[in-house]
Amino acid sequence: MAALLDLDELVEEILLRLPPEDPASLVCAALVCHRWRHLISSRGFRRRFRELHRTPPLLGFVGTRDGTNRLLAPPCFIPTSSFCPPRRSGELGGWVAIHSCHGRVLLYKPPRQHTDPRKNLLVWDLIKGEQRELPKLSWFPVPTFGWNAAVVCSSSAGTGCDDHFHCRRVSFLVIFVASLYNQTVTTIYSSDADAWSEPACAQERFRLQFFKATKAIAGNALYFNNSPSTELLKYDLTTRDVSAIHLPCQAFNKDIVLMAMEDSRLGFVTLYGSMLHMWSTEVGRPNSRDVRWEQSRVIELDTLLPADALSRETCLLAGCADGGEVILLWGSAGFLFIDLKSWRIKQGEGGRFCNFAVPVTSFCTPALGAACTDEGSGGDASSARKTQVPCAQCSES
Amino acid sequence: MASAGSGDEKAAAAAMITLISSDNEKFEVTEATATLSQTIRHMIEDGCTDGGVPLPNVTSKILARVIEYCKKHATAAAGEEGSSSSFSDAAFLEVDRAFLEELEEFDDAFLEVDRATLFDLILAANYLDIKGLLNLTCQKVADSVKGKTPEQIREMYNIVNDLTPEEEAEIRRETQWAFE
Repeated sequence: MAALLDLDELVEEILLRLPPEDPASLVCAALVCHRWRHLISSRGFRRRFRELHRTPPLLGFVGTRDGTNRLLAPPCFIPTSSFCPPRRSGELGGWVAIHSCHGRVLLYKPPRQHTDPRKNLLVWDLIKGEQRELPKLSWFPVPTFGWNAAVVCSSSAGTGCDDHFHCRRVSFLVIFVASLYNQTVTTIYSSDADAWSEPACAQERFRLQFFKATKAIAGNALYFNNSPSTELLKYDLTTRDVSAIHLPCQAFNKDIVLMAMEDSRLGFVTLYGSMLHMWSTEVGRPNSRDVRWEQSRVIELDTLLPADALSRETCLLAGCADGGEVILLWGSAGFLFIDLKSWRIKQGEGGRFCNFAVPVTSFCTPALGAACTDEGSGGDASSARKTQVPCAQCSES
Repeated sequence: MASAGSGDEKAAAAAMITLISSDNEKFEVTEATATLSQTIRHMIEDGCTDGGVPLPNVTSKILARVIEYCKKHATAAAGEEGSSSSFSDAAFLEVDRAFLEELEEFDDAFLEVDRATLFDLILAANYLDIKGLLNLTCQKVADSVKGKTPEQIREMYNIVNDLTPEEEAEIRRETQWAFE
């Protein structure tokens, strides 16, 4: 028995199979002994852990709740895993979570004076506990037909974010989209340059939705809600082109929550009475305006939930994880998670109103101080440089 | 020695391999069963199996269990010839659902062993390079570690804590969220 635990290779084989959705298990294992700590915090282990489990797990949702005196309370983390953000979000009072990509959450703070058109944006790295306030957009014109923004990993800009090992460590981009009278303006913040790009204009007109607006990264494109929901804005992360995607008429005037589905397809979910409707489509065709949607699932919540769990009048669809496997509802009893894979229902804490919550997915392997020096540093540096290439290519074109 | 599936009958009838455990017990298995082990597959390819394959690291007790596993999984593996995917046994995912369910039941029952046997099976799966068996047995140990405190894990597997209190405090400080 002792022989097996003396072999690093086999101990690693065992530790690699700890569940990614329970990152606390890895931390506990790292505290067992020196050898286990060293194994778990090595770069090789973190890389293999991602390779084995492939899809980053859902760690929880970041929601915005009303505070006192009509001010927004700090964003709250609603865990679906054993993970908790390492840093208290207390100092983020007034900030609203608007998007998240692999552990990074994009937050927006409405300005004190509504006439101030500049936008306050901040990226909060939940895994590292770091926060970075973005420089204000000085050029932003008023009035507009709405704006929105999303955070993506730099690697998404050229190849799609399928390499979840590097995307956590490399830089990020924030895509800002604003709709003016007859054109759509986009600008991109790069964390490397710590600056916004020159704005680019497209002769497309949208009416971007902001509140309760969800975003999804599917394939190599980013999708934004419009209002009313007859179409979506598609932002191609490679070409940086903006185009419209039509929604099925059943989505009209409903709150829809966008999500990425398997095989780079786009999906959305709506709540209609006590029925959850899920739609998905094939995307990525050159002329995607006539993209076809199909209703992939209808779920009757009345039969699924305990009778007093939700009242229909107050029940809100607050968020949905990519793949549509976990749905977050807000009702009179507070938060309710529905895991549509296992059909498990979990009551979340806190009964205060939550309008909208962004799902946070990420691998979370502990990189423990000086221990994480093993293997791969040369390769990592080159891949970090590589991620810059798409940006350079696009800005030149 | 019954074959796990009719599709392999021809290949099975064509070649039998003799495996010899560390305590000199001989086991005759079909080639389809034996080649679930990459180690043995390579030996067959190199033509080094005449007179039996000595396995000095595997006892007859463990080898019998390993053969039991390989026989059951041989059909599944046959459908996924040449899969090179590491870690996850891709063969597992491709075969039809009914057979998968049957395999899952078999695996659950197969894992009903004491810890010493489980560890010996991991060592044998690693030595013989049987990915599916390694995955199955390592997952079983990982499941037993999941949700346990460091103290419980050390006690369960007789591991001595050689972290200094300072090192332990540092890890706990860096990963404070895990203990809240």
